[in-house]
Formats: sequence, C-alpha cells, structure tokens
Amino acid sequence: MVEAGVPEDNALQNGQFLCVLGSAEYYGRAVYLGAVCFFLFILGLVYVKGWPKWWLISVAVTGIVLAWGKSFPSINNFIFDHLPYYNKFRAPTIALVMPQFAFPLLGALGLDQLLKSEASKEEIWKKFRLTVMITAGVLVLVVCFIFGQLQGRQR
Amino acid sequence: MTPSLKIFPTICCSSCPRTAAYSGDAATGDRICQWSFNRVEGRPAIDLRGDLIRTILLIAAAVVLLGLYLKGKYTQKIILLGGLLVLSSYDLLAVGRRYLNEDSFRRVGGL
Repeated sequence: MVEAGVPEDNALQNGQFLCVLGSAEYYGRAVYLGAVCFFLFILGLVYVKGWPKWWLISVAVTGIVLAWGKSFPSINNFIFDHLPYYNKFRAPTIALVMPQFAFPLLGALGLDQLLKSEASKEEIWKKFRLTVMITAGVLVLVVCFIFGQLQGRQR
Repeated sequence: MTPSLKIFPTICCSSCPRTAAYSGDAATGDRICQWSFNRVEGRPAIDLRGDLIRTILLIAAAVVLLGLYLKGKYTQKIILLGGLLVLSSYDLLAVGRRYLNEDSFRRVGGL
C-alpha cells in the first residue's frame, strides 16, 4: 500500500480497515467442498433413508439461501432486520458453513449405510448406478456452464 | 439507523465515501482503491478448464474405487476408505494451497 503512494503512517490503519470491510472479490472466492465430497453427498442422497437425510438437506439449503444475501432480498432482508443478532455477522456468506457441515456428514452417512447394507447385490448396484448417473448429470450441467462462461469471456 | 445489508460496502470504488472518510482525504482514498484493484487484478486467474478436468478425474477415481469394491474385486474396507481419504485430501489441499501457501508466511522487512 505504501508503494502505491499511501502515507506510511495510515497504511497500517487502512490495512486493518480493509480487513474488516473488504469486498468479496478482495478476500477470497467461493467455498470449496471438494469433488469427492460432492460425489459422496449424492451417494448419501441415494442411500440414506429417513430423517437424517432430510434435516441435512434442509440445513444445506438454508445455508445456501442465507449466503445469497442481498442477491435474494425477499427472505434475507427480512431475516437481517428481524432475527436477533443476525446482523452482527461479518458477511452473509458465513452461512456457507452450514452446507460445509451437512455435505460431508451426509456423504459419510451414505458410505456407512452402503458398507453396512444387507440388501442384495443387485439392489446396491442399482443404487450405485443411479448415484453415478446423477453425478454425471450434474457434471454435464457444470461443463455447459463453464464453456458458456469461457465463450462469454472470449467475446 | 435501520440496519440493512448495505453495511457491507464495496471497497474497490474510487468514490467510496467510507474509504475516503477513514483515510482522511479523497486522494489517499483513491490510492487505496487503486491498490485494492491492483491486488484483485494481479491475482492468478482460475484455470476453469484445468479445474474441470481435475474434478472429472477425481470423481472418476472415486467411482472406480467404489465400483470395484461393490463388484467384489477387493473386500478390505480399509482400501476403500483409505483411497477415498487420499483422494479427498488431495482434492481439498490442492485447492487450499492456492489461497494459503508458503508465500502467505513470507517475512517482511526482516521482522
């Protein structure tokens, strides 16, 4: 900052200021859960039965909706203004800690149920194929999105 | 003042009043904004294509590992779990190192 011409005596002060109020572009990029973790999460969606699956999905969806912040103002402005202490958080993206907790946990539960499963081999294999197909479908969507982005940049 | 989401301002704006107010004068505020711009623009770009190929390969490796176990090609659970642990660790650490690596701990000014 000093090299950019900011007086030395307030460069440190401004550095601290930027650490507190920096924009999303400044302090980092999206939260990365991991490709393998994502595959295991889909495995969990297919294999896990009962309430653990649904509360973990609810937690993940809630976290993602909260993290949208002002990109989804109809819900987030209401929560921000009325939920006690919610406006004390540094940034709405902090809510992404909820899917960061839910995704690996559901993946682990799915893997656990797969390994302890007493179902027939055909049944297990059928569910595994479904998991692979869903993952492949999501990957195709991601590929389309990325190539769309790349073409947009080239234009 | 009614709380609103506007308390998270965008720093990289030469007209940002809070930057100018905090830094004492508009000229210093502008220099700080320019410095922030340079920091963001100077960051290495994400290699989308490379990341995509890496993601596909990692998922394919996990699918093969799990598929071979379900087919009965190997029966030790430790191989499956160890393999998945290695794959996911490599996956997360490789991405994490982009943001936190040895350059993050350089000594400045001989301190």
